[in-house]
Amino acid sequence: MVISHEGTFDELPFYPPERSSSRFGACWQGLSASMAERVSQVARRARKPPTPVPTPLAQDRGRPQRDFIETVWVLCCSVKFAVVQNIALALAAMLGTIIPQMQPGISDSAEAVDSFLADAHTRYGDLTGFLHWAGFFDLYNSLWFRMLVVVVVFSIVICTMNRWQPTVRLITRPMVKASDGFMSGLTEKAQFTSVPLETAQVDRVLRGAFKKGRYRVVSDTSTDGAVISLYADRDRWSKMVTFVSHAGLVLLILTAAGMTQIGWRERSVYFMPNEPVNVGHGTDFSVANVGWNIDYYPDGTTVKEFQNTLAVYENDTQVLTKTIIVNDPLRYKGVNFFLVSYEPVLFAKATDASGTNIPLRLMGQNGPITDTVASGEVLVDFPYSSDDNLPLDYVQLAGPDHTLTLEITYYQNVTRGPGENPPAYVKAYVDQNFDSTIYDGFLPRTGPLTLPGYGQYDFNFRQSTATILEVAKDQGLELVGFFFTIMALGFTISLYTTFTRCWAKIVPNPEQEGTVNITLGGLAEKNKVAFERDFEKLALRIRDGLTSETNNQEVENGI
Amino acid sequence: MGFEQSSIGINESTLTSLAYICYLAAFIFYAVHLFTRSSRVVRVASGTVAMAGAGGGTMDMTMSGGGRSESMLARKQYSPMLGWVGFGLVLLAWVSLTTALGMRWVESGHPPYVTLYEISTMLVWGTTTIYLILFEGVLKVRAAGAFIVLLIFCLQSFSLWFVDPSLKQAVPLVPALRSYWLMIHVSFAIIAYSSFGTAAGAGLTFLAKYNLKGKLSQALPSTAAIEEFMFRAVAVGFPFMTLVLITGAIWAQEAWTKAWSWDPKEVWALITWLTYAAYLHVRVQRGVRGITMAWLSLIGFAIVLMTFLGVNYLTAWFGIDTLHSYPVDNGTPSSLSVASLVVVGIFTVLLGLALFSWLRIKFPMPGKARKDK
Ligand code: HEM
Repeated sequence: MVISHEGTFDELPFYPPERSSSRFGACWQGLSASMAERVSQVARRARKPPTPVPTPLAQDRGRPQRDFIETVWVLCCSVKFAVVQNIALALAAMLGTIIPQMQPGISDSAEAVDSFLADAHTRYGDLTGFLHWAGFFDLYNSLWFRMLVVVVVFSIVICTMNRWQPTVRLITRPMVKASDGFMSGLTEKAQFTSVPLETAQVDRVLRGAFKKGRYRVVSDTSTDGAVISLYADRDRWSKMVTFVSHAGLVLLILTAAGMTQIGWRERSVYFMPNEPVNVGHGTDFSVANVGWNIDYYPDGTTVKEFQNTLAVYENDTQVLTKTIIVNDPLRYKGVNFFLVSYEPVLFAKATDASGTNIPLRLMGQNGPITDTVASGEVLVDFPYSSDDNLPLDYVQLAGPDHTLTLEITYYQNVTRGPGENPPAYVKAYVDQNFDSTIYDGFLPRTGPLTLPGYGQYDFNFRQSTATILEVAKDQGLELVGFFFTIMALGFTISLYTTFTRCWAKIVPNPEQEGTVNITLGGLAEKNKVAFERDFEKLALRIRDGLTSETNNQEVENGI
Repeated sequence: MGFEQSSIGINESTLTSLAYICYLAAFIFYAVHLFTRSSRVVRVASGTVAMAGAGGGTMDMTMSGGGRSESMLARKQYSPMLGWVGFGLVLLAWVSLTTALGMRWVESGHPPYVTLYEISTMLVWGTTTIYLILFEGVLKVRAAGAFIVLLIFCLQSFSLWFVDPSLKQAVPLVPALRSYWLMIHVSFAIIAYSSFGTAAGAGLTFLAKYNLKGKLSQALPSTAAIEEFMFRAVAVGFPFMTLVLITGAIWAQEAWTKAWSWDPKEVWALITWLTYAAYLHVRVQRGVRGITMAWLSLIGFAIVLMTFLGVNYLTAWFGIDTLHSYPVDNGTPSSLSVASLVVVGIFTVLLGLALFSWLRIKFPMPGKARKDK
């Protein structure tokens, strides 16, 4: 503990000065002898303000030179540095809340990064390049931010190592005999003068009073037996709680950092109705979206809740179904399926006059129409959006003479009754004639869509909903939770328990033979108001004890 | 004030306004009570106690303690009536605000934790509750009341006057908020932030004691005592702040798929937590007491305001995406800018006071001795 009165802040010393220097010892058994010696040396010097040593080098100004390890050690133990780290971390974190950050997943795709940067350029201009280079757009994953966290963790560890031994000494080998100077510097004091009792009787009264106040008592009698020093303390274990809670904090950060390395996460996985999805990553099961429901508040437009029923298949057998909502994901074999969002999709089907399915093609992700669905229904999932920001997609039918292209816009907010066609708006083009439409309007309310001049084809549409899930395997969450709990409990306990110490000295009264003087002093590190009352109770209890002991003695003596 | 009139006579709006008026009145009573309080210090069980001893001798007991020069214990020293009136008014404000919030809860079917108006009112309610329990109840100090109630009054001014009236209507819960974690997580946040609010009020009391002279300063407890009360309030808040982070992480893991995603609100909650951790460290590790702690508690509360209210403006100010934000305007830019000005204003005043007191210690005026040693 560095007690310092530098600066002009009002600081009170907490630990009695006698405690501030101590030696390192048994706690380093685990380390090699030389390393242990080194560490203990450094720690010793770090705790003890260096004594001025005459040195030939003028610029040393009387300070012994510190080597690198020592400098780092001293730095990590300094509260000022801890506060600087704290502020640096806070400021850095703050920056991330005022500079737009790349959302997770963006950094995986060069294209997405470019478009993000183009966006940022409108705000930051020429600074954009620098900000990107320095990691400000992905601040929390940047090297320098991580280094900052590493420094904090490192400091906590060093700081704890530094404080371990003095703390253990403080509670296992307390200073029993307090000097008069020390006693007079304590915050709480009481004095009893001319107490007409034997030293041993007083000792008994004091012990009784301390025990009643939950103190444990250690005593020391001077060689001639005339002076008795008593030391009493309470809740000394609370000093150790700090170590537990900080260890919890360090382990929490370490596990959380390690966790992100071992888990995996797939953002935005589309679950089309009834199409099983295998999420990969070595999983041996697949999951399908087999049911969908959405509830609205009475106003009819505000979404109250949406539910997605998932079925889990192993070797083509359904092993489980669960209906998930935003606040209740599916967990199966350690993999979590979180419901994130949903999107309307259509199923489109074309038939000829004889009722045979005609192959349809769908616009590929990258523009040209590539995907061909040989037969049956094609899933229109609207990867594009219209000028009005409505979901948009293209479907193509390659006939023997002409190619028909349907541009489908989905009017999500238009309601249609049960059994009616979905509210889709269709523009149809022939071949490359994209300047003129052969059909331009909503789907008919009921029945198939037919295009003028191409009556042999029937287009049928069916409405459905795809769900968008995030699939992730997170490992070690329980462990993180455990450390968090330890830490939180630890902090709470250390805030509400106070290591409290009292000293008492019983000396013969030089002015009146047969009586003794008692000095009593107390020190609490926290919650001084409570201790003030507590100490008062203690003193009054001692007074009452002394009084009744005196009275008993008088009775015994027949006075 | 933007509420719909209901058919019953006592509605939410009247109750809220009643609370507002009570706070103002309570502040006046508390303040006057400070100025008129007797400066006689009642010492509890200090001084010399003489006891009859054997043989005609006397046994003496003397007690002294650090705080006793202006005793921490000597709290039964107010001129009682005015103080009690102030207390009664705060209690009345609390009762009416509780009723108003309760009515809103019953009507909307969910706790009033969802809009900017609701949470800022909850902060007013919470700070009052913590003040009543901790300061009036446990610690039995009324001296900080004037300053804490003043802070509460400023907070309620924000929620009543500067939040867009159209946002005062209760809104239905979106799917992500339909969880019992809403109740748990936000309740913890309100307890934590309210405790920090009372600590900041105690910090203001400290500054008054430290910087002012005369009757007011005399009427206040010693700086050591005020500092201790401030610490007690932070000690209530810190564990709850930790719980806010834990429960937030658990909830985010369920609803947003990830326990921690560096969302601005999460980051600011972390910053708040770090700030109060720093507060505790300089106190516990360094043994720092006094004015430093007072300005730390003000900075801390400024950050709390940023976390609780200011974060909602980040989207508007810096184009930041956040999952956590409450809507701050309904397309009326004027109310947005006024409300954010108020957030920035309170923030700046707190920081300014902190800076001012810091400068005063760093560069003391010549010839002025420091009082608190
Ligand atoms: C952000 C991370 C940290 C948090 C949230 C935290 C929290 C706490 C809390 C709540 C206490 C108890 C205060 C009390 O007993 O009244 C405490 C005490 C302490 N902390 Fe930290 N701490 C953090 C980082 C650190 C660091 C970086 C160091 C070392 C440089 C450190 C060293 C200590 C020490 C030495 C004590 C006092 C132990 C005692 O004498 O009882 N902590 N901390």
